Amino acid sequence: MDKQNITYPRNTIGEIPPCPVAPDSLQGIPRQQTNPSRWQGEQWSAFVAALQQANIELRVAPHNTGTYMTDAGGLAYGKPHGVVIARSAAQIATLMQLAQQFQVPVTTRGGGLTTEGESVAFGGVLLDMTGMSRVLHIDKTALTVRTEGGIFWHLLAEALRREGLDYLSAPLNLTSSVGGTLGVGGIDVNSSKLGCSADQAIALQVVTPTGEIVECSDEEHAELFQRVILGYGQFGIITEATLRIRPYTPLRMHYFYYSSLRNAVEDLIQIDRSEACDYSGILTMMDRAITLLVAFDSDEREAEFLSNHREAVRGYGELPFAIRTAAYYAVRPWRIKEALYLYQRKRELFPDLQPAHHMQGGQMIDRTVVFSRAVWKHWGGRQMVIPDLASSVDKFVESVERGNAVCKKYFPHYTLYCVGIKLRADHKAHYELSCIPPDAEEWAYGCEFEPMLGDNSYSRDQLQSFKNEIYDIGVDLGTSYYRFGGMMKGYIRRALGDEVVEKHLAMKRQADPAMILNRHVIF
Amino acid sequence: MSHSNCHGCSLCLLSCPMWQQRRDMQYSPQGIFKALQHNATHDEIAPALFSCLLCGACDVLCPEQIDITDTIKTLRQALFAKGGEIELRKKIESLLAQPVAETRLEENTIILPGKALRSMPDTLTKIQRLLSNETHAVIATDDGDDIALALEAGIHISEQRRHSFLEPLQGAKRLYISNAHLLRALHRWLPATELCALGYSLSQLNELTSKLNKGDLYLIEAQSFHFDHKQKITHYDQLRYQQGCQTNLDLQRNAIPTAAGALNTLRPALDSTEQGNWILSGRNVQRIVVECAEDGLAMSQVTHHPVLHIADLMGA
Repeated sequence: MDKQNITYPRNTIGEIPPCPVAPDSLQGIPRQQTNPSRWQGEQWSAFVAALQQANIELRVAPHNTGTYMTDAGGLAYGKPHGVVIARSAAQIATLMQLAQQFQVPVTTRGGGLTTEGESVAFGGVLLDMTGMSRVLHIDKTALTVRTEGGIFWHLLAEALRREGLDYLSAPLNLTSSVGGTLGVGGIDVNSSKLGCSADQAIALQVVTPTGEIVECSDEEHAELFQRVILGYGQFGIITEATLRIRPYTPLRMHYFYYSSLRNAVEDLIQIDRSEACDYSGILTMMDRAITLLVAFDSDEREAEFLSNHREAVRGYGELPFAIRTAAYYAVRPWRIKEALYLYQRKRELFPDLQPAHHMQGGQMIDRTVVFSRAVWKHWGGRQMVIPDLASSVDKFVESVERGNAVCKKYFPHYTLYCVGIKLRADHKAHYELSCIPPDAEEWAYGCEFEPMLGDNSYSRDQLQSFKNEIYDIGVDLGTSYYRFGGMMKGYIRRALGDEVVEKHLAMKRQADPAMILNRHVIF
Repeated sequence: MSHSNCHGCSLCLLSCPMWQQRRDMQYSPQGIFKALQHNATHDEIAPALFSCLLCGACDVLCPEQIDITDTIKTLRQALFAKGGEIELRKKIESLLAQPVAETRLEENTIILPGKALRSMPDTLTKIQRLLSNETHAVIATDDGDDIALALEAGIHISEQRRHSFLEPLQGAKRLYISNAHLLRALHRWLPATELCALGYSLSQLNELTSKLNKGDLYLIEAQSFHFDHKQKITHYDQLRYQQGCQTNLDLQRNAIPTAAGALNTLRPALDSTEQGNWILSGRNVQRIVVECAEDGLAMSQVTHHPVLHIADLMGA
């Protein structure tokens, strides 16, 4: 190359130029690889031989291991050395004993719906928990269900609905597994009333990192129960769970539309506090069309809300909001592209939020299916980037507004999804080092920030910078996060403090001497 | 969209009988496609390929709109072409009928009932009567059972055999077809003819469906239902709400199939008892009404409740 043709900005000769890919938002955190380095396979052969002796099938063919190469996020890539399909607690116990002995990492995977690579194995064994996914017993009198841990929430719903029953709360994406969800939280549009999914667990059968099979609950082996619930898979593998359930009810849905994010968030918090509805949440198209969803389990609850609380809600009905929005863009013709995007998005999305064959008499009869399919169809894709912030009530409006500003800076189109989580005072111990922020009382609030990547191609650095900038808000405000793992890991200590991380690290070292179970998620 | 578009959302697993029975990712459309993305050979995916019932529920669910059942059929064809599954191929080829000179049927309406229904002459007579409104409906002598099996398995059908099957049907204005694989193929082969799924057509007759009640479990024939899901779901939902009967629809509004397909009967890969039990699980049922005679045979193996064909509701 002809040196004479290279021009340098005058002030930067001899200095490292700024990252040409994307703005660097890593406040005090050096840029590092997104993926952890791959485990190098020391003692692998001896471990494989021991597994064979124990009659545990290990699949090592490239197409077997490649199947689990990434998670729903599609940004973290790693290959296990071998795959084991979970079949029983005894099989997993043997696997863990041998993994401890030979110091082989084991990564558990349910639905693989993590976005930071938490369910991606960077070497070692990938344990596919969906092999244990059957409902074991439904107790209609006590309203509990005993199920294997690898079951998808959807399949649990399927079995419960045959009996006229339903789970309490589950993630909107129904290919999440029960075990995986109990380990991270699980937020539904009724979590502001019923709490997160993890709080529905009454008892668990857990295989510890050293291979003991332990039944635990708030009464029995309570410490293990506290650590496994919301424990991000660090302290044991959930092989069975007993969950609270309830009679099934269809939903009476109402949507209110806002153009002010603050108003919508304040109304959401107010509605939750008043306990006037059974389901609530916010879903946005950028910060221009904000939908507050409110729903009810019974006609009585709906009627009570409409007569006593509706007036306080500042959102508009669909038609008035459409007229206001049209007027807004009519005097801002230079934003016609945005207007067209909103219109197009509404046309595509709204019918899928109330499909005729999942509605009856104006009520939604299968919210589980409707939301889950809409999530995949309208928000899913080869890559999904969904950083989030989980805060106390007091910090929530600021969290959302600041996160929204970051979204706006990086992407033309994005969605925010906000919900409240009712906390259980008696579960304080469960919440330590989890998505529930330490300063949250009674309710915590979560907001996911999801860019609509579409067919656009963004560099990995740009996506990571976006995530980091959202996470930085958490550090500034002292919030927590729903998704841990991957690059996020660097923020846990900064957001939640050294003391609590050190405490849990000490417990982890004791429970998992070889530090093999779900490495790189927290520690 | 091809299998390379699968990004692993797992939605296809939710209604997949193959995955439900095995609980093993390998035995699912996602597992097959992911394996192919990582250079699996046809032999390596053969057990899963031939466990698939081709019920088509995954086609409805796939957010990437991959035509999964067609892809699986193509993969089966490729496997045979590479010399795999020789025994199975020979078995099916031996079942393919020798082409015979057929004369064109003069009637406007022809029914292709399939093997199981042919063995139920009373029911078949009722069907004939029910579908003979404007013109007399006749039963085809050659209803292409062998062709349906070959289509399901991915076996090549000779030009002569195809011709001998199609020739008698060329003059018909309307065909009622029991087998969904045949129905799909006939859409390509006889584009000008009105083609109707037999079970679906019967389910539209009020004189039959008015006799359904809340103690009935109505079994929708899965393949043809999923083939035309958008149109048919409204009809079956109305049927369910109007009559109060139960159906084999799952939460996704997909029809849970029995494992009564011809290929699974020939070389069982899925347990039909387990499939039948899953359909019945948690349901309070007094009677089972089926659209497809093969489904009826499968269900009568797992329940002591009466199982009858929808046409038998005539005069019931």
